Amino acid sequence: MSGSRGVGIVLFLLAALVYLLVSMPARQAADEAAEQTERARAQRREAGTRLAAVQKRAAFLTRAVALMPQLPAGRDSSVQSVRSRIVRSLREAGVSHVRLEVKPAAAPAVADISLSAESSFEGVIRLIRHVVSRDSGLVLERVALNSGPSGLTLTLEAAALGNAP
Amino acid sequence: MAWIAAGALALCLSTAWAIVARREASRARESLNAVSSELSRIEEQIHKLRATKFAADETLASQILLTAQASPPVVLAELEKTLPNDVRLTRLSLSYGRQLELEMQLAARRPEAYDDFLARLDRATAFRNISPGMESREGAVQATVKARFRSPW
Repeated sequence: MSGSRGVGIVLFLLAALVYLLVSMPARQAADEAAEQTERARAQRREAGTRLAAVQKRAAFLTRAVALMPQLPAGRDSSVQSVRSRIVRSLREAGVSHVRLEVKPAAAPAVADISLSAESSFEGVIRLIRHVVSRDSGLVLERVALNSGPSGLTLTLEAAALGNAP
Repeated sequence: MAWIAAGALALCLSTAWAIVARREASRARESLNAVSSELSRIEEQIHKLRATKFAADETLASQILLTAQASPPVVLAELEKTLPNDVRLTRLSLSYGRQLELEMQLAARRPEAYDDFLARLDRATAFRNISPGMESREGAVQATVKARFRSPW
């Protein structure tokens, strides 16, 4: 009788040892890992939001760079050549009362352009189309259209980007 | 005999519990590793994208996109859709920056025509942030309106 009681007690002690040395630390480790996982999930959500914003910005810049006005390869992108191209556009558009200033600008621009001219509505639109065509290398900054008795006055400020590196 | 049976039962239960607890701990660690490695991957992607050099900054990129997709003829065509017969655009100024800001000066033969224009402009999807400015309503209307052209991105 006392022998079987002893064996029973030993088994109880073994059960307690297994609980104390294996179950409890494993349970604790599982709880800690679950807490860390929850924190990591929150960080992942926050990082996901940041990634989406960065991806959106990158997509936006990539799209803009792809649309960047570029001069045909080999075309000179000096201030003088930018001026010559605008003068040609002005001639082709048939505008009058032209005031034009083309001056060197800081990179990535080659030149800053300031232009005013008078024409009919169609003439002004034709000139703008010339100016914003992709191979003109120009990016608009400010445009004003004023209707007057002698037609439409266009005032335009733009930057010539020249050839992309 | 009852002591042995009770002791054996306790040991079995304790062992089973230990197995379950270890499995749970192992699963929790695996889950943590998976989330951590995904987090590292995302952070790496962010770092890589941030380090990418572009030929244009945000303002220049906006100007490029707006010049290509919202040039004055495009804006004028959209404005034309909103102009009633009795309203005339006397001045239009476009400012190409992070957004395309418009300032319009209008002349309307009748105040009702100007009100109609504002209602149409408000309904037009091409324009937002519409801000009517000073207007004189003695017979013919002279007015200023500011608006923002929709972003092409």
